[in-house]
Amino acid sequence: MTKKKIMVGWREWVSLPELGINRIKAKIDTGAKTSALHAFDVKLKTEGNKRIAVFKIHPHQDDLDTVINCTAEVFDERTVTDSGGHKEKRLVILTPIKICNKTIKCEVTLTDRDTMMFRMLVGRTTLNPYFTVDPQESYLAQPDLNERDV
Amino acid sequence: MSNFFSNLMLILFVYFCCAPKSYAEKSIVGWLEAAALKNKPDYLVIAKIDTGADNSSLNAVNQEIYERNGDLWVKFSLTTKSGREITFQNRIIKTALIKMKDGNLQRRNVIEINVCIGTISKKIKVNLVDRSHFKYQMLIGRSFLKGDFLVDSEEKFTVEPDCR
Repeated sequence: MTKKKIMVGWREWVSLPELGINRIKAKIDTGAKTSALHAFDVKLKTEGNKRIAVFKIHPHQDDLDTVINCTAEVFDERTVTDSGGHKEKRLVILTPIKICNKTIKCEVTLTDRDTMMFRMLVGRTTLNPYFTVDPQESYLAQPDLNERDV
Repeated sequence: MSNFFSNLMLILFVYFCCAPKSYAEKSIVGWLEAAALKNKPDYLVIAKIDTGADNSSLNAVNQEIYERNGDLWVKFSLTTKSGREITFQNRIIKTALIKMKDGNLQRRNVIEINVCIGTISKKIKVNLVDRSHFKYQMLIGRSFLKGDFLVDSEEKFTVEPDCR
């Protein structure tokens, strides 16, 4: 606990550079173990002995017109339990995420739950061991990402 | 001049009494902590500290609703951390519609209760839900945490409740 950690709020703008997502609003969720991304049209293809996930995302909350096409190698497949207690099998990718000028490789599960208010959830395995969350604050990180440019 | 002086006093008063706590003044908790319900040291439950939730909720199976003096009350019991069964009887202050991840709405009874984590006690609204398929009896959301706590999800059980 003596380590100096980066302070983040419960909502932050983050980026996922390898997926081509410069700016996405994420909920920082200590109640979730793994991070999750709301993806749709998820398809699996095989390249050699690699399994590749091809999917789309709407990076902005109330904008269904902007679509980003993403590709990422499938790292794992896992059964996760959501906050309602439902179990769902999800693909897991390993991709760098930039939060507050810190870039870390993180496991992200892909979910097509359309009811997620936030398109991205950042869970404990991504937060550890670099971040501390202040539930009173929002958008403490990356002022450059808070500006409206995509 | 006296106007200036009283304004200055007011500013100083607001600053010292109501200024938001700085990071150094907030207590750091882990993602799991022991919480004392009604501030009682033997009413301990394990609570998940959830910055992703607005409000707090408590496990309540077999809720019995009854009327007392024109108000609706609820009787429920839960098992503490040490395995003891305790019973609560509380007035229902409202019902809350909770949006579930699957898009369904769930109606939950809300009671008001004192909860103690570390040395901080707050009277909060808690919604009652059957959490028997979850690992932890309680979920603490941002409305409890705001202003007093920081969450380090690398840690757990960092503080002992002490609010007597």
